Amino acid sequence: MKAVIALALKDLRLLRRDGFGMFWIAAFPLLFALFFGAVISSFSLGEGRTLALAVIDEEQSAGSKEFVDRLKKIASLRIESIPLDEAQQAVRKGKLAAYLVIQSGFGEGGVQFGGPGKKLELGIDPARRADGAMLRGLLMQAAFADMQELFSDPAKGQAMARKALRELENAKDIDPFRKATFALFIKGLDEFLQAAPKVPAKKGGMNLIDLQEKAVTREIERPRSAFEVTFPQSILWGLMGCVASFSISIVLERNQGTFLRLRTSPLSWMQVLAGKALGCFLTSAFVALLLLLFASLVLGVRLGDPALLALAIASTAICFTGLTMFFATLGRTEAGVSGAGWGIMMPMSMIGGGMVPLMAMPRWMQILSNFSPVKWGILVLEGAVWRGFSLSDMLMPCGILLGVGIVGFALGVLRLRTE
Amino acid sequence: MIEVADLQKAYGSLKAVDGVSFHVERGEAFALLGPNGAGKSTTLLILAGVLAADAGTIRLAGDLDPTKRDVRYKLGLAPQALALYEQLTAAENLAFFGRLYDLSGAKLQERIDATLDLAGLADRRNDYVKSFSGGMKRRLNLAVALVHEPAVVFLDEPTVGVDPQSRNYIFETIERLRAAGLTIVYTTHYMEEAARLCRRIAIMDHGKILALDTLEGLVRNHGGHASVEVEFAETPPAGTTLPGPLEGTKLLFSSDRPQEELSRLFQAGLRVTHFDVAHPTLETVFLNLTGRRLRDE
Repeated sequence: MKAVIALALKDLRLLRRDGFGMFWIAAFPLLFALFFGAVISSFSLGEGRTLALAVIDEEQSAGSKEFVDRLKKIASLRIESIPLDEAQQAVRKGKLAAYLVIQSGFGEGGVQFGGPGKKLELGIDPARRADGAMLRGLLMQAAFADMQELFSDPAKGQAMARKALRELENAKDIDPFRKATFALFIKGLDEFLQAAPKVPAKKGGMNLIDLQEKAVTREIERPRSAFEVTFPQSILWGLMGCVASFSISIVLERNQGTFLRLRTSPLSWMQVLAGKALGCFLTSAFVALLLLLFASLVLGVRLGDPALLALAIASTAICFTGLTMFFATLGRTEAGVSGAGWGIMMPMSMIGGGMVPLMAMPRWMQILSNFSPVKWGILVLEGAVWRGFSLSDMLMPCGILLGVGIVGFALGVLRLRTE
Repeated sequence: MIEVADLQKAYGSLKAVDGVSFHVERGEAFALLGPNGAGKSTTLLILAGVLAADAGTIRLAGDLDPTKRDVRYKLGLAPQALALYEQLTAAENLAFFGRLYDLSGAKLQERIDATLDLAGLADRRNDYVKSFSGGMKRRLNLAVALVHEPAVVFLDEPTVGVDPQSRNYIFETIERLRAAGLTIVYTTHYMEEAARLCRRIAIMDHGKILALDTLEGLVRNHGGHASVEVEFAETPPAGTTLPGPLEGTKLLFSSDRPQEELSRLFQAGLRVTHFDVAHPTLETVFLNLTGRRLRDE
């Protein structure tokens, strides 16, 4: 065992003195995580999302201004006041979600039975269905608040009721039976409002609906920041850097003649490869820890349960160490081994979510990704960091990673023995 | 210590080692002398357990298998190509290879110090190997083979490409090892090295051992006679018995007893102005055995 450790420490010392190799193992993954984290952060991950809405108030009445004020108070809306043509241009270019025109007659609408509603025009790309639905809901919310105010202030309500009654009496195109029914209702309303005290809207008054809201948190965990997505990815890139560095170490031993000394030493092939593997594993685990510590201390990335995180790091490092030992025995030249290593790892990374997050991939690629250890590596790291995996959730992906690692190592030993 | 019987190794149709047999006594320095491609290094690598022989047997330190773990502790190899980590220091190289043979602690430090002294590199112990001259690397290459105190050391052309100073240092090191009782198998294509360092020499060519003996034995049995050249002051009188043909005043002949022939000429009263005796060497031996010069290879 001492000889195996000596072999691992020697490889680590050589790696430490290879600045270029260290860049690809530690610095590149960090830059990857920071760069893509910053890029993805500029897009929304769904939480705290706001819609930019241009509002053009053509009526400029007290009622329309109150309506705009109510819209401004809605947290999920960002209201901009710009001319209509600018608003249309901004919507076309995707700089605004939509524009809303408060047309003349807005204040007259919505209070007359059988009459027109409040006159609004919403300009939005039909493809943005979700945004459209959300906006319609928010506009209804603001309009209902208008109605609520009407019933909270009896004097204002009475004035509106009497105005409605006058308009009803003058109306000629309403059926006499319906006219009489509406008149009876409005008169009753007028009397009711006359008797009702003025109550501030916030303290009660008459509500159209009595809605009790109950917060139900979604069970599916979400990353709190883009860095919680990019750092597990970056760890996989770090591990691929380890693959690149350590897979050529046997070829380097051959080239510098030291492989001959290892062959004549008392070490078996398994011990030689175990020494190489130990160095690779320690470097992989160290890089993963280093990246996660940086992410946690500097960027506030959660580290989850330490035991599960350790299991995730160890499983992933073992997997990639085993693969490295297999790649290391594939050829006899640096170019051959390095080419084979990258040639296998790049597609694995592409389909496994090492480049584009799995959640952004089409369904068929997500299925294909099951064949890539990169996917399982990212999954267990994300599971420990933000997916909230339990031990039982971790067992299957960790088992796959360990299996791949053990098979890779065994194939490497077999190849050396049969040389 | 080492017994080799009918060793054979072929690469396709090329017989690299073709029925080689020899034995090496404990504490003996033994040379395999021959041109490049003679099969010396292949023989050595089979002895070190790096290559498997196609046929034949090896008995090394009483064991038939040189790849056995116990046997490997007793063997040291200084390969023909340098086998060092250039990014490590001299001491780090020795420490690493020492640990492969279970050395540690004070014993390891002691061996590192001893081998650095032996190689004359004590003052460069903490320098990276990449900063060493070719000769220094050769000396360290030898030191690494000795760090674990092997009983048998295989030295494969240990002086290739080194400066005369380092070469002499390596010679002196090997002479000290020989004096200390180490068993040495030494391959070279330099006759003077084999002659200086080894008690017995096996001359190899085309995978075969052509002759194996001490230097004196090889010369005596395969070197032929000494060549003698004599210059007379005047042409010897007619009827004088001479050991060879006369060309003007110059006499050329070969003899296994050149001193006796020369004294016979002096006793005959002939006035000799100059004479030269060329005794047979390993070069002559090789020429006689193969029909070509070793240096031509």
